[in-house]
Amino acid sequence: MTDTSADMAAVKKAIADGHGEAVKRLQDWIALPTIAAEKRNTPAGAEYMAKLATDAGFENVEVVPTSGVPGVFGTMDVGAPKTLAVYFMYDVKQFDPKEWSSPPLEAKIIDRAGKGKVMIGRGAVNQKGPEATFLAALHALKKAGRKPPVNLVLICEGEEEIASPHFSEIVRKPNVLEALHKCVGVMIPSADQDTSGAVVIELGAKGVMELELVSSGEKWGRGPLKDLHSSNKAAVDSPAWHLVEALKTLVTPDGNKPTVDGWYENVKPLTQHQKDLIAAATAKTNEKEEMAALGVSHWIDDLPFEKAMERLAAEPTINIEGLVSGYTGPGGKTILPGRAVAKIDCRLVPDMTLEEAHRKLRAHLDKRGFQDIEVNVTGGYDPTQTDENSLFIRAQVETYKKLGIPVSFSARSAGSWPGVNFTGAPVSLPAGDYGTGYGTGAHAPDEYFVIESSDPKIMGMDQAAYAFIAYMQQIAEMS
Amino acid sequence: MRSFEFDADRRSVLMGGAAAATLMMSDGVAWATDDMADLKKAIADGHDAAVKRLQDWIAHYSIAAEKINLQEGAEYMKQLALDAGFQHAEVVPTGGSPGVYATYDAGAPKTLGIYFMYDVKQFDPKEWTSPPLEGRLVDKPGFGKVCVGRGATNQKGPETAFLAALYAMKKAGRKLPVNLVLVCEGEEEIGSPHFHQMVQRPDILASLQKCVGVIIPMNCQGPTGNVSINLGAKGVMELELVSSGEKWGRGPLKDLHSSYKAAVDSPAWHLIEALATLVSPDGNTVVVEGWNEHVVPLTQHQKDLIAAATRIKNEQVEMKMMGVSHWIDDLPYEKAMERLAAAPTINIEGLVSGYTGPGGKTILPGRAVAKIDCRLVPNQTVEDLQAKLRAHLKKHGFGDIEVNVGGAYNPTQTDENSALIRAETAAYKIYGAPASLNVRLAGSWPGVVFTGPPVNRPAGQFGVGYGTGAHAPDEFFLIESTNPKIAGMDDATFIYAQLLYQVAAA
Repeated sequence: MTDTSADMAAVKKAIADGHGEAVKRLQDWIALPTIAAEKRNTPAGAEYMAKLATDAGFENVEVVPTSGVPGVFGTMDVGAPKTLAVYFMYDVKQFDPKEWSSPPLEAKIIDRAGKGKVMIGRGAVNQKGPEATFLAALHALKKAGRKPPVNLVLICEGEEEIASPHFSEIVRKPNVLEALHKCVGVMIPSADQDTSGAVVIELGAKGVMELELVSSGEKWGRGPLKDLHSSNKAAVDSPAWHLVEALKTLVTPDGNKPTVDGWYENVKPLTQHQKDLIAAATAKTNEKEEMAALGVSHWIDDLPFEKAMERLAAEPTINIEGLVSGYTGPGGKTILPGRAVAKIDCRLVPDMTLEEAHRKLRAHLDKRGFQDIEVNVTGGYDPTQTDENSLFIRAQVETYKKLGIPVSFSARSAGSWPGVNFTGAPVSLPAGDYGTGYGTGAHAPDEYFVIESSDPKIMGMDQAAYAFIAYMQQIAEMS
Repeated sequence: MRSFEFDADRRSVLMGGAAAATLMMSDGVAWATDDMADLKKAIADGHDAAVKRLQDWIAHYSIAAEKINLQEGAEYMKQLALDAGFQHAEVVPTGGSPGVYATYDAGAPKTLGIYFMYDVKQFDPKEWTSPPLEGRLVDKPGFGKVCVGRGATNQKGPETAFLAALYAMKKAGRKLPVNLVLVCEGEEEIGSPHFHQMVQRPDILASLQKCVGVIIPMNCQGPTGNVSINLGAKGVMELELVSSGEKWGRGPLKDLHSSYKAAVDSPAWHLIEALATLVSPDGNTVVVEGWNEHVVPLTQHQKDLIAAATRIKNEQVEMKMMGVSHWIDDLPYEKAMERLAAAPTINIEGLVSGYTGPGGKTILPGRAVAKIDCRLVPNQTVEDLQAKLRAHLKKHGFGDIEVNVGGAYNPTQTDENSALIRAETAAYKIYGAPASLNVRLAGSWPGVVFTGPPVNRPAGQFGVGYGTGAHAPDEFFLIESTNPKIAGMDDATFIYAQLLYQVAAA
């Protein structure tokens, strides 16, 4: 396909003509929520996803069984030189209809002041809205008699909201992996504009390891097996104190730097370029507003804003998510608890790995006499990083610019997403969000996605559909 | 005064091995002397009336936490005292539930103080197999006829047995060998917040100061009939240590997404670091500056008493009951029991911060709380330790951590050679249940209200008999015992009368 304004006009008209259908498609999809944690609508959600893919023009669409909720795989070979992989999640987060002002499965369209017409429903922005927008782009191309500018590979999962425990099974299926290896990158359709209309491209994210440290009389062989009357503390050891002492060895006395043996061995410092990106992003952000939003009055070590943001991107962390031991109700209760638990998350930076962090934490505790303390890892994955100079990213920047959208880079998100499923072995591709438009309320009541924008800086669903086509076109044209 | 920690069900655990060099009652109840035959007959004749008196009292319940029947309960208590022969009884207003003060002047040279509580713990009738306010008599296999009701053993049963002794003395035409001072409160079950107001009223204080000592009538026998005299108990200070972004001025005010840990301080880590400064690395020895300054070590005699008590206990049985396989530092049993009695403690009762449900949640909590109890030994005081804890935290950079003290009171200790203890020992012996001396409970009860200033008298629980279920459904008090090792209500009544004579003689 060659990019002429006449072609593009025809595509835009097809998008507009298909608007009603696209909205209806999204509403119907929202009406069928798949919730992995509750095993709700599995495998119905996968079959529905497969039909959505087939209807949009994907071929060889298959439901891919996993040990958990099935995935979906399909391809669209248009004979183009380049191929783009697209990731979909078809599951959504749990919801309580009582908390919603509009029924979460009805996907009603309402007017929202300052935004325009928005669709309210579970999954509206996370992630069915942007995904349905991408599908709308494919329908429009077909209607306009156009082929996509690139070949497509579609991989979908139904367990994103429970941290993708079986996604690796999908990408490692031989035909899936073979198809992925031909791709320039993996795009996650998203509504990525902020309220000012700008987009930040994340080049990476930390990995994470969530775990529980459990100290118990049972495993320790000291202290009580069950809660004991606290008067016995004078003669009996305490698993709770044992946990406190073990925790204390994990970080510096200010609680801010991991001191686990070898924790920093594979930590790559930020490059000067990454620091420059952070400095540029920081310069545009109001520190006071940011602090107020976080409920924070000082950064660690009273760092200046830019240094604090560098630290945010650069440092691995060991954080206490929660502490539970003994009596946790109001007032007190005179017991010596038989068990104490610290819920921990560790953020991992390149080139740390989950396996390495787990191994080193275990060895550290063992070496200091805490062999008995259980390290129960409940989830996690390695950090992800995508090359700023990859075609996948350069095409995004160029497309946003052409669309008139302010764009900047985030060197690395301090939060985590399992992009390593794509950026790590065996897939090893650039990966990340792409997309325009706006929505909010992921995981919360009254989640919405903007269908028709009344804000000229924010794109509605039709413009966002066009932005997907523009991106594919850009990939096709760039070298 | 009966602390929430001190009931028959938990006694053996509380006392640990140091409890009881107990000599079992031989051949059931051995009446002491034949010249008590008239008194024994009077007790037996009064049995039904005493049981009825207990049942009526159980029906007239008072609950301080719910402000139920407090004035009525005090008036009822006053009438019970007058009916039992106290010449003077009055309801004493306090900042909370009223108390009752009564005196019985027998013209005797000596005076004994008696503590009563007239309030009871809350109850849910649905959980009971017998209506909790009926005081119904039922057969309990292995024990005999018991009275089931709220307050039956905690504490109206033993108190009624004490009153029955006074009735029996009158009926037998006997003059009381000692004068009595009775102090009653209606807030024991909420931690006695106003009782000190009563004992410090000048006339009440003056009459208490004249007493040989103060007894708390209680079913002190365990299920095997063993009984011991507690010479002391540790004090306790319960508190919460609270670390928060709000007070610290660092970290988040509320829970924040955990990814921010790389740029934001953590109140939870702050608490962990603070906690770690309080005890030795093994968690067993308090290292707060000056904590042990006023600790009085055990005397050789106290160690000997503990050694004697330990020798007749079975360490393996004791450990198994506690769910414990090693004492601190792998101490031998006797040394562990010495440590139990001697060492002050800082214990973590509970930890609460951030996400406490199943699995994880990626937050950086804005607040973390450690629930702590400290056990105090003589001569540590709550006031001193609280000041030292705060000073310690401040010195180590944790001045922001809140120290919210809940219930607290000082240790209590009564001299083994005091007249009260000698009289109690003699009474148990004559009764046929020689008691062991327990140097110090590792648990706590607020005896310091009597043993500490301004009253400064010996004090402790006294009595035989059995009951259980304090604070629980189906609480009961043994009325007629089928177990030769355990006293029924009449025997329990008799030993109170016997104690009056022994106090007079001591």
